[in-house]
Amino acid sequence: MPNVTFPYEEEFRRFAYPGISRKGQCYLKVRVNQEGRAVFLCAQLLNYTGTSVTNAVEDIFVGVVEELANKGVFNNLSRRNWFKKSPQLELEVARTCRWIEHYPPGAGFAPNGSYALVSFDKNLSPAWNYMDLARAATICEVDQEFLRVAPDELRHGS
Amino acid sequence: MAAKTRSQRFKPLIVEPLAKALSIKVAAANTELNMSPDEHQAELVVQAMMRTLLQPHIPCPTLITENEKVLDDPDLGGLIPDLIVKRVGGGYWGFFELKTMLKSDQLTVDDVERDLKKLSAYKQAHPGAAPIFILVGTWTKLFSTNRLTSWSRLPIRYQLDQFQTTPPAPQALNDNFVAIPAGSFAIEELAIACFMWEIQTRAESTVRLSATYDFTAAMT
Repeated sequence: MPNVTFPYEEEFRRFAYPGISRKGQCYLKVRVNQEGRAVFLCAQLLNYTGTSVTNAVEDIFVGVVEELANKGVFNNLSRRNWFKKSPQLELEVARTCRWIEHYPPGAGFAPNGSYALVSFDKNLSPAWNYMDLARAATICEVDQEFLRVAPDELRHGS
Repeated sequence: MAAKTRSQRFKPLIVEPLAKALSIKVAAANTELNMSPDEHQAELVVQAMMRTLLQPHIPCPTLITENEKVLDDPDLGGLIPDLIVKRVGGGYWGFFELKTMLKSDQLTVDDVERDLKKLSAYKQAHPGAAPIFILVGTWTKLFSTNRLTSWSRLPIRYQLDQFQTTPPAPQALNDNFVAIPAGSFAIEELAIACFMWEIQTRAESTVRLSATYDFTAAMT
């Protein structure tokens, strides 16, 4: 396993997940600090008609955590209960991370786009809290730029 | 030959569509009438909007009912939730109590206290159901110093930091129950904000039941 350097950043231009009737896709970006605390930006694609990032949030979360865990990104997070791919790891990431769900202008209900903090409970059951970009950046302790994605990056099929 | 039955489990979201759309719907309804977005709407009108928003996510519209007594409480009397969502095949999915704090509303702390007691009573009687308190209000009223001061008597708080933590931090109602932040819409460019709490027992204070409406549909 290659050494991971922190802060770890990765962009998944198209992250695949199991949708309701067919596979879904979204844009994902993650930054993980030395302690293993992660900030995720999960964005809905433009001109996309598959299962939304909202409806598939648990699947996307579990999928990306597993992928990052396989790369050793969360090795510093749960040393005491370290079992690769274990539900404990997912819960620990859910407890410590910030998951921001983003709909760009043209993809959701808000003309200027929307940002929501999704918080997971002990059963990974999600709750959505819609807020301004500035507020989302503050609570995630990132620059607003981290939470902005150019529309061209989000065009489905590009 | 007997027909094969295929059943599939569905989990449509319930609280998310309400959190996302209720504030916008109230503001839009006011704008349609050439009123300011935070203008008063009678609580019953907002309740009807909730029903409209919930219906596409519930398998049958008759599973949502209003004006139905669900409980006789020795202290509170006959209890009628604002909205009731039933499960397919019987039983309750959840109960909604709504309070509005729009331009002309005179919501008192006692009104909220009573709703929280009602919701706790529902939870006591129906532990598998999700009792939910919804507050819809204008930024100006919700966050005025006077309002925040009087509201500080209540066990639930809607200051933004309460809804922006992971995992959601339960707010203690009494010795037996907590209110868990279950969703919110607070974007300053819209005059209306919305906050939701799910009532849970203290023993289950890290678990919310209200995110989805789980049901199985069988097709032959």
